[in-house]
Amino acid sequence: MDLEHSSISKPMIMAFHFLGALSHIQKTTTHSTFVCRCHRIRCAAYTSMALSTGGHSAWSRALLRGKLRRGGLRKRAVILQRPRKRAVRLEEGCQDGADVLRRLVPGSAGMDSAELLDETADYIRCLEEQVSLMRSIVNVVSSL
Amino acid sequence: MSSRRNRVSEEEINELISKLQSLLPETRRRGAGRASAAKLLKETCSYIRSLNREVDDLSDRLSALMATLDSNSAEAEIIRSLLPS
Repeated sequence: MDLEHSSISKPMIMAFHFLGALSHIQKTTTHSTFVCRCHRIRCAAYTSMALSTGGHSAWSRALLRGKLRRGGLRKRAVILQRPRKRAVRLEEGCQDGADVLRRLVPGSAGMDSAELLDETADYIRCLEEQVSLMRSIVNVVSSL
Repeated sequence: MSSRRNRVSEEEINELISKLQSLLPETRRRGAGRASAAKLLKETCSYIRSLNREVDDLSDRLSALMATLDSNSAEAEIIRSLLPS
């Protein structure tokens, strides 16, 4: 099934994964500490973000790799190779900013500026969707 | 020849800069016109950090809400067990 032509939108996939994870967390953390549950919810948030993109971006693969490292899954997803453009260098004063960005966006360490900005754009959009999803859930649950 | 290469680079840089600008929400797009790439990068990093903090904060709230939900269901369970079946 090709995700591009699927009628299921990315936010819906994200919601599906995140709500499923929350339901599982609620069942399994009745006697856990607040901090433990908090940490699991946070992990679930980033995982559902990564899953919603279908592995098309490097940051999502990096997040999932980090998650799966424990399970020992070595299978690599099919990576869509983008045509390599000539590396573009930003002006001199930007290197520090670009390095900080590379630390913030997972999996972007070895990228040139053009790829880095593409990844950043995708990452920011997904983060915004995740935040919006979590806000809606908090609103619904707190009004119960 | 080098000038031609510089021109192409500059177009690409401008494209990247406008892309950076479009990432930030309206409230963070400071100043009219084209801000420097360095400033935009800094602003972008700060925006990502604030989004990460929001996810943390919302996780905290969800965790607290789930705790109250748990206690509610426990009470519901007790009530249910007290009622004659």
